[in-house]
Order: sequence, then structure tokens, then C-alpha cells
Amino acid sequence: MRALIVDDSRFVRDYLRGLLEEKGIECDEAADGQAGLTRIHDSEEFDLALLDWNMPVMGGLDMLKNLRAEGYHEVKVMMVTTEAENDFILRALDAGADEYLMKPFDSEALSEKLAMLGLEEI
Amino acid sequence: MDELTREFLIESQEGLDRMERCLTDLEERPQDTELLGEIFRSVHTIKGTTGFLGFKRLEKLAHAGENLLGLLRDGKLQANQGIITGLLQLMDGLRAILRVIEQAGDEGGGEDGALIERLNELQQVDAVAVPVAMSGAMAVKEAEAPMVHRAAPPVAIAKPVVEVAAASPVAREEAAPAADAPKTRTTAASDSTLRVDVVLLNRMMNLVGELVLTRNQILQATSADPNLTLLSRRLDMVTADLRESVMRARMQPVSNVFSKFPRIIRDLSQALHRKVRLVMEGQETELDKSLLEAIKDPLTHAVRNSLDHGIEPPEVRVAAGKDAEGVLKLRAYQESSHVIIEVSDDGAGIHVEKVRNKAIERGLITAERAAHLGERELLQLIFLPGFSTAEAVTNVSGRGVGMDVVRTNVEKIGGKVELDSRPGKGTTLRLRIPLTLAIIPALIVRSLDQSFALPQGALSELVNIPPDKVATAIEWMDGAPLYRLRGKLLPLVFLDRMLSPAGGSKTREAKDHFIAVLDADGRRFGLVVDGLADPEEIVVKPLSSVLKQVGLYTGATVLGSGDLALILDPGSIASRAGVSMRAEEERGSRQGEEEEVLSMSTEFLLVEAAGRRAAVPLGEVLRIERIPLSRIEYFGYRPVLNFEGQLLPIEDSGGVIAAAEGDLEAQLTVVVCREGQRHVGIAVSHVLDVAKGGDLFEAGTQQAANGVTLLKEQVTGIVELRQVPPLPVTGVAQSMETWSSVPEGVA
Repeated sequence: MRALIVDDSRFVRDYLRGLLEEKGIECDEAADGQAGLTRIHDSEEFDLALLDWNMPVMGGLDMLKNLRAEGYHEVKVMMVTTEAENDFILRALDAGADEYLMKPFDSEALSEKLAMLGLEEI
Repeated sequence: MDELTREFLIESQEGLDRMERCLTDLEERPQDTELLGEIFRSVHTIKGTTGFLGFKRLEKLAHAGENLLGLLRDGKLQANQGIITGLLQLMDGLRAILRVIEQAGDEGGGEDGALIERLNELQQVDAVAVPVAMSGAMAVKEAEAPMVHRAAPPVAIAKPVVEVAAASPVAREEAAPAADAPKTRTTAASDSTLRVDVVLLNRMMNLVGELVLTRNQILQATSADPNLTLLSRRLDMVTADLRESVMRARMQPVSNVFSKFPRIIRDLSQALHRKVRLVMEGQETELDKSLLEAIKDPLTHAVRNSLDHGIEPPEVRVAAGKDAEGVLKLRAYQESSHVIIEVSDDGAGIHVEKVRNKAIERGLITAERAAHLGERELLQLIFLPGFSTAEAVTNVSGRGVGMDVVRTNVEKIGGKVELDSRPGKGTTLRLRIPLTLAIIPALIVRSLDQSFALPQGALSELVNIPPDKVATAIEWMDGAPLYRLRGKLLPLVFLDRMLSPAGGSKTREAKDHFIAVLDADGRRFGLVVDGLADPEEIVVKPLSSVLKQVGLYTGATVLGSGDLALILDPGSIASRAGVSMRAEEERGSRQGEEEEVLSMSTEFLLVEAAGRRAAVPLGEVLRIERIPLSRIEYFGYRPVLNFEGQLLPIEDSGGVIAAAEGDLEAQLTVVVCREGQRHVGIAVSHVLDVAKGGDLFEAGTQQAANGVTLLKEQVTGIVELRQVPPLPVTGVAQSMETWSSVPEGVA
């Protein structure tokens, strides 16, 4: 299984990668929505994309909208948000997000959400 | 500290650095949504990530900041001075906590209640002023704001590259054109740079150093074998390239240091009520990371000085016919193997009289001695420990640490400090920094049958004295050796005597002597050695503590021959020899006083020519004339003065005329003297005094040293009238005829 982590914070990318790889999920990263889209265009299929909300160049919501508009429906999208962005979750779900994860989170919280998507393998 | 926490700290610092840059710009463009978005994101990221690590205090502060920034970003609040100041305080607060985490591993027990309250107040007060409904529905609607960032500026592209300390210049160049192709640009930037641990870079640098040493040895060992020469030459080239690359990897643009000045200047100009415009040039100039660290404080001090002492308050500037707004310029550029960093202002310049008075008041120099110093020497007093020209001690500068610290810090890393100041026009401080510390060009010298390395940076020239000239060329003044270099006295230090007071001098006169003329600590002296070898690029190795105690060496190195050589520290040699030089001077002066009683003493006219003292035998002086510079004419290349119908040759070895060139209103003082049958004029800046001079005696003899005298406890050169060449006869026969019989009217 492959996941794409899109977040402008290196810290968050490293943290997420650590947790996901522990669970046997292969990871790729991008630092903004634009780069995230490019990754998806260029690479083999991703099963999951974890998108930060607020990023330079292109935010997570726009990346999600673009992704769905371009016909990538099979990629599961999990919005990774902070409390401040929580009010917007409904809009993300409207735009085609599958799940959301609130920062800060730990391994357990991530597992729960992955399980909701039917993705956790271990 | 674990890897993730370190990552978090670095990322947060970088975010705050970005925030700082944006805040400065925000003052000029308070409604720039891109800037506001960027600032918001910096704080937002800190808030978002700190939760993972459980830093509650940091989270709380960042949260308060985020709320305020959210309103600004969404246009519900207008940025004003109060808000920008609040945001700067927020930035400082966040930085302070990050520092504590970095040092202690946790947040410590600090309290940010007041700052958080202030940030909340800023939201409240202005929210009233700009009444916008803040219902949840509204907030959702406003959330379109992130869309704005689609049009994020190229700044966002350059960022990941700048973040990476190890970014090679090539990668940077690639990143720039990539910005034109939006599709690929981000990928290009993040793929072409890496973060590299500085410890690893340092290790690489050390290994390259070892490689350079080995290369030097191989080059020497293989020079006889034609088969190996080609190979070793190739090794030489590859090593040089590799060294260059590793050095480049350690380079950072000076903008890393410059970027904090807009903030400092903003705060200072408010505190000091100055209007200042900051101009920065050459921010892309690169410098070794450790050197960049080392100049941070000296540079900050220089900038503070410029604001505090240089740039005048607006009303003073206007009264002086200047623009109310002063200009402070930071400029960096590379000059061969040095990077020059200039801090210049268009302020009042340095008042040399104030400097003189302050130095006397502080007991740094006697009033008598100060009276004899020229402008250039007076400026140098600023670098003395304990000197400060601030009339009132402010909390900005004048805190006891001063320019002496600036100079010491810069010289510690092998750099130099130069100061230029023009009254009413401004001051320029120039820091001359070597590109790298680890590998330096050096001249290998021999003394006591050992090799020593002399850093090229301090070396200004080399003088050879053949065996038969040694006895006459080196003059002795009460045990202190001097050499006359182009008419100027150069104090000498014998390396062998300094290193081994017992040995050395026996065979002194029978061999070649080499003088390395060195500049260190603002002093020029000649280091006498037995021999010179080739210049080499040497790798500086730290010294063992035993050798460090000797104090004359900065390090050691392995030479191409495989020999070990100690690296001499010209500054330490100067100060150690300087102690004895001063001692000699005192002894000399005491002896001078005795001689004054015992034997004849000559009276001298003490003059100053372009900052240098000189003595003219009073008996030969006919008169002293003050004339406008425009009266000087030229006969060939020689300056002459039409003096009461006669041509008077002007001796200008002090360069007074040249210094005043171009200034139409300059006045010149000419001391008219008698020399045998003719008269000559000596161009001087000032006449200082008439004083009795003590003859100086060569050690152990009764023969007075030629050409110098002791005036007011200072060794002073005597102007040799006989050495002023006569004017050529051809072409001015008319004038020359009258030359030999100058009328008495001149006197």
C-alpha cells in the first residue's frame, strides 16, 4: 500500500511517515498541493493521500477539488487539520474527502481513522 | 533530544525567520494578503506541530497569535503599528521558548500571560474599530482565504532552497529558472537540495584537509619521477576541486545575518528618534558558516553604533541641509579571497576632537601624547578597550563593550577592520573577512633550523638584506633594532631571539637576513628570519594545550615536505614585542633625559605631515609660511613655490600636498629652511611645537644614532634637508642663477 503525505511542515511529514511506515505503508511526500498533484500525475497509484489544510502555493482543499475533478476517485483522501480548521471539515467532505484527522494525533488515532477507511493492514 | 524534536525546532526557527522578513515588508504593505498568509502560516505551523510534542506553553502563545493573524489574513482587521509591534513581540516570545526547549529540552516555567493578553487586546480593540460580524457562518465563508495562496509568490519557491544550509550554488541557479515553469518548479526545488548535518560537513572539511596535506607530500615526493608527475598533477587538480566544493557546501549567504537588521533598525530608530532607511547590497554573497556566526555580533554592534552615534536626529539633519531620513547601508562583496562587509552611514561622521578628549578623559592616552596625533591616529583610538564616544550612556550602545570587541572578534577569525570617517558626511566601517578558516595561504619561513608558517593575510612585503649590508642596514636604538624602509622606521623583531633568548645572534652578521613586513593589531613591524621557502596552502590544525600556552602560535600544520610547522600569530608576536618596544622606548627616554644634561641637545621644530611626526632642526628654519595650496606649481613632477620671486623646491615626503589635492580652499604650511647655500621648503600639515631633542645612542657606544631624535618621549625622524635634491638646471637657468644667492629677505 502507498500513501502520499502532503504537508508544508517537514516535521509533520516526518512524523506521519514514521507512523505510517510502522504500519507497513510505503510513503511519498510533497510540500504543497501543487507538488502533491504532480506526484500523483507522475507516479503509480496511491491508495491514500493525507492532505494538510493550509499550505503555500496550493492548500489541501484545492488539491482535493482538483484531484477529484481530474478523475482520481480511487485515491482515498484524509484531511489533516488543526482545531482552527475543524469548522471547514464539512466543506472538505462535500468536496470529496473520505476522512479527517485532527492534529495533534498519535499512532492510535491514526490507526482508528485508517480502519474507518478500511485501509489498516496490521 | 530526539530527531523529531530537533526537526521541529529547526522548522519553527525557519518559520519565524520568514515571519520576521514578512513583518518588515508588512510595514510598507499592510494589506498584502500574501504576506499576511505567509505570516499566518508560520505561526499556524508552530501551533499545529507543537501539539505533537506536548509543548503546551508554546501552543498557547502560538494559538493567541494565530487568532490575531487569522483576523488580519481574512481582512477583518487592518495591520497598524500597534499590531505589527505586537506581532514582533509574539515572534520574540516564541523564539524565547524555542531557545529554552533547545537548551533544556522542555519549555521551562516561564509565563506569557501578559503577551497573550496583549495579543487578545489587539484583536478586541481593533475588532471594534472595524466592526465585522464574526459569527461561525461568516468564518466559514471567509475560509475561502486559503485560495488566495494559489497565487503565492516566487518567494515560496525560493524558500526550500534557502532553508538548506548545504545548498550548492548550482542548485540555487537551477531553482531560479525553474520558477518560470509552475508545473515542475516545486518538485525541482525540493528534489535538488538536501539538509546536511553541520557536524558531517565539518568532518568532511577535516578529511579534505588531510587530503590536501597528503597531496602536498605526494607532489613533493613525485616531482622527480616523470611517470608519476602526470598522475600527481591530476590528483592535485581533483583535490583542489573537491576542496572548493566542500568549502562551498559550508557557505551561506550573508542575507542570513543581514535579514535581522531591518528589525533591529526599526526598533532602534524608534527608540532613538531617528529616521533611517536601510539599504542592503550583495546579500547573496556567501561566507563560511562559522565565519558568518563570528561576525554576527561585531556587525550588530557596528549597526547600533551607526544609529546611535552616526545618523543625527531628523531636525539636526534638516538644519545641516541633509535629508531628514538618514541612510544606513550594509554592503557585502567578494574581493579575491576575502569578503568585505561595509556598514556605512551618511551621518555626522566622527568628531576627532571629541575622540581626543574622550581618550584623555578615560586615561587611555596622555594629553601631551594626544596633542601630537594626527586624524588617522585619533580615529584608531576608538578601537582601544574602554573607549566610547556616547555622550550619554544609552541602552543602545555605550555599554562598555565597544569597537575594541568588534576589532578583537574580527581579528580572531583572521579578518581586519578599517574605519573611514568624514565629518558631516558619514562613516564607513569595513570588515575584511577571509573566505574560509580551515585552509589558508601561508609563507613558510625558516628560523633556528625550523620551519614556521606565516599567514599571508598579515604579510605586506619581504625585504632581503645581504650579509655585507646587515651591519649598516639594521640600526639599533638602545637595544631595539630598527630598519629604515623607504624613509620610515620599521621596528624589527628577531624571531630566533624571541623564541630562544639564549641562542641565535652569534652568526648574525655573516648571513642573509630576511624581513617579513607584517601588519597586525594596527601595528607594522618587521619579523627577521633566516630564510624563506615557498608559499603553501596550509591546513590549520589545532594546537595541543602546552603549545597554546606559549601564545605565539595559532595552530600547526604539516608541510609538503612532511615536516611539522607551527603557524605564527603576528598579533601575538606584535604585542609581545610591543611590550619590549615600549620598555625600550621608556628606557630610551630616560637615557635621553640624562644625555640632555650631559651633552648638547638640539632644539627641533616638531611638525606633523599627513599624520606623521617629524623633526626639523630649529637652527635651519628661516620662517614658516601659510599659503593656499593653489600657489604650489609644478616643475616637472616636483612641487615648487614661487616665493618672493624665487623658486623654492618643496619637499613633500609626507604626502601633504597629494592629500589635499582637489580641495581648492586647502591651506598648506611650508617650513622654509636653509640647507647650505640654498633654501628648501617642507610641506607639513601642522607645526606642533618647539622642543629639545635628546640624541639616541647606539647600545654600548657613544655614537649618536643618525636620523632620529627623542622628542616629547617619542622617537621622531629628523627631516634630512641635505637629501632634498636640487632642481635641474636646464630650462630654468634664469631662476637657478638666483638660487644660490637667495636674498636675505626670505629669512
